[in-house]
Amino acid sequence: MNENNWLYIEPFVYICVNTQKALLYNTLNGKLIECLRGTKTYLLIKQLNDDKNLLVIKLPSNYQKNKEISGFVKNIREFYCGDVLTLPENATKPFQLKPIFNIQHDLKIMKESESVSVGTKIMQKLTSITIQINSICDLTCCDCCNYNRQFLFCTKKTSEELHLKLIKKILDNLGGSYIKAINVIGGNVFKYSKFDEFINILKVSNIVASFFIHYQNIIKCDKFINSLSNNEFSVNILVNFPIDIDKLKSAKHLLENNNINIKYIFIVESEKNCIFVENLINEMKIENNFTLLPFYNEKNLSFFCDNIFPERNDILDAKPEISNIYARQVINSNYYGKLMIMSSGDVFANLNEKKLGNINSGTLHEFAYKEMKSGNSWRKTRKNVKPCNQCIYKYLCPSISNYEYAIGKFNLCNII
Amino acid sequence: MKINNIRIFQTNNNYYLYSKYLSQFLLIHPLLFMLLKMKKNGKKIKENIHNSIINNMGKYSKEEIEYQYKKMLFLLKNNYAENIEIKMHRYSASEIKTYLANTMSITFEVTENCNLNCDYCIYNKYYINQRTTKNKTLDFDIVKNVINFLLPIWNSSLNSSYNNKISIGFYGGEALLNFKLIKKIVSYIKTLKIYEDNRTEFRMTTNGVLLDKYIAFLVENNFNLLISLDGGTKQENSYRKFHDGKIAFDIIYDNVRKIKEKYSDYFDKYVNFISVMHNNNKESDVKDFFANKLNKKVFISSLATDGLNPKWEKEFWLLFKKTSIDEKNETTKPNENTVELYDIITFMRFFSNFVKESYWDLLMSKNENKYFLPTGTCSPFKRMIFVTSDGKILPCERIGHQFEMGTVSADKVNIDFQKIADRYNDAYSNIYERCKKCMFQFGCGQCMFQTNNFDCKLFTANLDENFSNIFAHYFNAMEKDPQLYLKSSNYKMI
Repeated sequence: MNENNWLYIEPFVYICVNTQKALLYNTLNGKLIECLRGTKTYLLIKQLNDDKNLLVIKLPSNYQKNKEISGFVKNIREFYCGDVLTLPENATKPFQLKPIFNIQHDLKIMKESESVSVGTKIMQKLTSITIQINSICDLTCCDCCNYNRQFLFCTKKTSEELHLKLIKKILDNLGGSYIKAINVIGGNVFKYSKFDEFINILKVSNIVASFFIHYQNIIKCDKFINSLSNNEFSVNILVNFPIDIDKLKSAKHLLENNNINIKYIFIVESEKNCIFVENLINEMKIENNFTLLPFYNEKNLSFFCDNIFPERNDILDAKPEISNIYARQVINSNYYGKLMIMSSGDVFANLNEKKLGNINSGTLHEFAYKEMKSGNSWRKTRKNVKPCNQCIYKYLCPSISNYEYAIGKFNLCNII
Repeated sequence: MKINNIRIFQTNNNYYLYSKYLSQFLLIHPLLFMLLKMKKNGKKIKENIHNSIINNMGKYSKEEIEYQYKKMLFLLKNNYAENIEIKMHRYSASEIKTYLANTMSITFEVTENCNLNCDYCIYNKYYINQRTTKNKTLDFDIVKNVINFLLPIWNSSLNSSYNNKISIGFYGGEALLNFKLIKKIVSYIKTLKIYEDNRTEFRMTTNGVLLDKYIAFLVENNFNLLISLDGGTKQENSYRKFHDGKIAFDIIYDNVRKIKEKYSDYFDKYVNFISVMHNNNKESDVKDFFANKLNKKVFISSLATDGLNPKWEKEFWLLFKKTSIDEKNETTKPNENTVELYDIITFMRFFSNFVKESYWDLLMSKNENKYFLPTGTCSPFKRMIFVTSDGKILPCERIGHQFEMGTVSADKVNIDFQKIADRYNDAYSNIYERCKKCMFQFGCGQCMFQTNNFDCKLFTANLDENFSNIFAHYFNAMEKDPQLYLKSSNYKMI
C-alpha cells in the first residue's frame, strides 16, 4: 500500500518568513531553526506557514534521500517543533489548529460594527494610571526633566499642581474600569498643598497607591511619612547618582519604622554605577527589594550597547508565549492601557508622544477612546518602524520602549 | 502519576490531544497517543516502555518509541497536563449596579393588549403562564420615573463606555395599540441630554397590523422595526389570527409592501422580520420568501417549550418545529453527520485559546484562577432592562414575571442590588456542583430561568468518553474541510 509522509508543525511554534529568511521558533524550549531564501527548506517553511496548509504539508516521497530536507526534518523532530506522520495514500490530510488569533473586540471590527463602537467598554481596557500631583521640589537633579521620559520617575518639568477636584474626578472616572491601583508621582509629593486631604481621598476611594518619592525628599518631609503608613500604600524610593548613602539609610530607617511597604529604584548610567549599587544593596541588606533602571544620558551609548541591548540569544532565551508574540503584532505591551495625568492636567498615553488632552476638559473615557481610535502609543508595534519592520525577529523582540525614543533609534539590539 | 487533565481522542485517521489547562489542541503521533493512554490509565511506562508498546504496535522502532516517550515528557514538563482550579464567581451588589450602568437596552411593555390572538402566543392555552388580565397598560409616570432613576447611573463613572448607545424598545401585547404612550415617551426622551448626545435609538417589535397608521412617526424617529411574519402565504401564517379567527396575513403583508414602496431607504436600513417555525411553514421557504420578495434576511425562531400547559401539550408538539439552529445546537451529540461553520465557531469559543475577547487577553494567556458562572444565564441587566406594564423590573423580556428583580411605581423605584446578587448567588450555589461536572461549563447556552427546576437538557458529563466523542466529531469535520476552521477564525460574535 502506498503511503504519504506528512510533515506538521506544532501550534506552539512561531513561524516567520520574510524576503531573506524563514524561521521556526519553539516557544516552549527556545529552539530555533532558520533557513535562507533560495534553499528548499525556506520553501517548505513558507508552505507550512501558508494558511491553506494549516501547518501540515506532504513531504516528497524520497525526502529521506535528500540531505537538506531530511536534515531539516531531523532538526524539527529533535527540537520538538513538529513531527512526521506516515499515512495511507487515501487517508485524509492530518489537521492542525494553526494559531490564528480571533480577537472579538478587534479595532477594525469595532470601527465598522453597528452594534458596538471603539468606545464600548473602553475603560475596561485601562491597565495602569499614573498621576503627577505636583511638580514642586527643592532638589536639583541634573536630569530631572528627562528621567520620566524613559521610566516612571518624579519630575518638576511643569510648574502646576493638580487640583484636588481633578484628582477626585480621575478617581471617580476609574469606577467603570478594572483599575484598583494607581501610581503617584511629584515633584515632591509631600509639598502638595492639600496632601492630607489627598491621602484621605485615596483612603475613601479604596484605591491602592504606589508613591514614587526621591529618597532625599523622604528625610526632608519626615512629618508626612506617618500618613503613608497604610496597607493600601507603598513607597518606591527613587535613588539617582550621586548617592548620599547616609541620607538613603535615614530614609530607609524612617520608612521601616513606620511599617511602610518599600521598594528601591536605582537609576544607573554606567557600569561603575552598577557596581556601586551592587555593593550598596548588599551593605543595606535590600537584595530582594530593588530594581535597577538604566538611564540614557546622551553620553553613555556604549553602556547601553554592552549591557542593555539584547543579543540574538537573549531574545531566543526569553521564550514568550505564542499569544504574547501575536500581541506584539497588534499592540505595544509596554504602553497598552496606560494613561498618565501630569500636574498641568495634560493626559498622555506616553510622555514621548503628543498629549491626548487635558483632564480639565475631558474624561478618562474620552482620552482612552482617543488613544485607542487614533493614538500612537497603545498600538505602536515594530512593524511600524524602521529598521525593525525588516527584521525576522521583530515579534520575538519585546515591544518598543521609551529607551528607543530617548536614543533615537528602534533597533536597540546587536542584530540589525 | 495519572494525567486527568489531558484529553486524547482519535478521528478516522489521526490522533490528537487537548490540554484543558492551555485550551490547546495538538495533532500527535499514534505512538504518543498510546503512551498518553497508558499514562492516563496509571501504567508505569518507563519500566514497560518496550514490551507493552512493541506488543501493540510492532512496526515502530525502539528509537521511535523512545523519541515519542521523550516528547511526552517534554509536553508534560510544559504544563500540558496541569490542573486548573475553577471557582464559582459570586456577584456583588456593586457589580449588579455596574451592569445596570452599562446596559445595552431598556424595553417597555407598553401594553398587554393585542389585536391578534395567535394560537401559539405564550399567553394562550399552550402555556401555563396565561395572563389573568390582558388589558394592562403602562403609565407614563412609571416610565419617566424609571428613566430618571437610570439616567444618573448611565451617566456615572460606573459606565465603562464612551458615548455608548442605549436602545429604547417598545413591546407588547402589540405595542402600537398604545401608540399614545410611545409618542409621549419618545417626546420625553427627546428632551434629555442623552438624546442630544446621540446616545439613544428606538426599537419596536410589532405584528404589523397597525403599521399603515403610524409608520410616518416611526420613520421620522428612525425606529428599528422587527415585524413578526411567518412566511409569504396565508397558510404559513395560519396561526397568526385576529380575535374573530380571521388570518391577519393580507393586512400585514399589504402594510409591509407599502412601507417598502413609500419609504424604501428606511425599509432597507431599519426594518427586519422574525418568523416562528411550526408545522405549517418550512424554514427554507420562509427564508426564500424574505430574500426574494423583500430582499431581507429573516430571524428564525422556534416556539418556547418552557411552561407548557400539560392539558394541551400533546397538541402543542404537533404544531412545534425545530429551527436549523436548534438542530445545530444538538450537534454536541456526536451522531450528527453534518458540521457547519456555526458549529465550529461555537466549538472554538468554548475550547480554543485562540479566541480572545480583547487584545489585553493575549497577554493574559494562562488559565490560572479561572472563575465561572454556572449555566449560560446572562448577567442581570447586562443586555437589557425590561419594565412590564404593571411596573415589574426584569432582566429580560423572555423570562417569567415571577422572576422580578425590582418594581417601579409613579413615585418610587425599588431595586435592591444586594438582594439581586444574593438571589443569583443562591441559585448558582444550588447548581454549581452539577455545572462543574459538565464539559460545557464555559460555553453553556442554557438560561437558568428557562429550565424546569434546573433540569438542564444540555448537560454533558465531563468524562473522557464524552470529550473524545465530541472532539473527534468536530475534528473529523475540520480534517475533511479545513476551510471551516479558517472561516471561523475571522468570525466575530459582536
